[in-house]
Amino acid sequence: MANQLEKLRKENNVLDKQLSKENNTIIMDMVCYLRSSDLCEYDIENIRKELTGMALEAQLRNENFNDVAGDDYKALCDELMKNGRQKTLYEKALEILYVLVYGIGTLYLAEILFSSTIINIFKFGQFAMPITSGFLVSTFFAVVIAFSVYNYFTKNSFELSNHNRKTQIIFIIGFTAVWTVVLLFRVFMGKTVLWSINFLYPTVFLAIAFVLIKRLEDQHVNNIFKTYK
Amino acid sequence: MFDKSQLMRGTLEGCILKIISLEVTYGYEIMIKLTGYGFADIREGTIYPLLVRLEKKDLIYAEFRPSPLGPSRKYYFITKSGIEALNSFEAYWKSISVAVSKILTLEVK
Repeated sequence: MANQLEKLRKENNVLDKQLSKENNTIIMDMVCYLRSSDLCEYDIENIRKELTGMALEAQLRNENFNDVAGDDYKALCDELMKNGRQKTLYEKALEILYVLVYGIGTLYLAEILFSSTIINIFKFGQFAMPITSGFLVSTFFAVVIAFSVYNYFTKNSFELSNHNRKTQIIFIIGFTAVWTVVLLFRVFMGKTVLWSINFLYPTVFLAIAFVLIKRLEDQHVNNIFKTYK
Repeated sequence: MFDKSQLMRGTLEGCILKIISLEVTYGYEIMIKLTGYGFADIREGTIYPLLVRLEKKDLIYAEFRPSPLGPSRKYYFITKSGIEALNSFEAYWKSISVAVSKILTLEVK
């Protein structure tokens, strides 16, 4: 059974295309802000569907979205956050695990492809992969930064969208500076080998973990969908 | 100045339950009915979080149905516990409105 969340997301993406540019920006900001909350992902997509529906009907009646939703979109989102179903501990754990496994998996794959490991595999038939302190530190920073950036973006979606140039410039400079530090760590500490490992072990572990988490998540979302029906 | 939001929330919840108990309906129509009965400054955005809350408390349930205007609409139905909640709201409102009216008609001695 396909993940109902993905189905709903696709439906919403189709609906989004019918929105005016102005309404699309408003809905995007609202959904982005809702993602900073503890509302579960399936509920956020449901809210997105309903808000988009409201906006589309308003468009057809030649009304503005603020005629329907009021002027304070952030306050409306806060009300929705307060009244909606909150994520359970299980849902939170699945979400964090998914992001961690996906993030670490991607960085690990990049490490294989852009280090000597790939040459060792194909040229010498050696599966040993050197784990450097640079890789560990930069992976740690990358994951922490990704979480922080996500939180910053979602919590400040309205402010960032209001074309507050100063905030945007500060954010871009900060973002670039932090990533430069991460890359410097990777480059200059790259040669300090801590230990070597057969690259297949983490690959298999991460792949199994990813599939398992994805299946548990799909199962959980589909169960929520059944209770909604 | 008097903060009307708290009073409005509880009152609106009761009124929304009553409207849904009479007829299966959707957000915009509920808003039009409430405005028609004299609730000023009510918008769909005002009642939407309340509908989410009522749904979470299992007092109402919803299903999407095709709409002649745009995408499918979410129609709301009252549940058994919603009817019980509405009955207790009506009883409480009657008693409290009598009490409040008596107090508000008092004159300064």
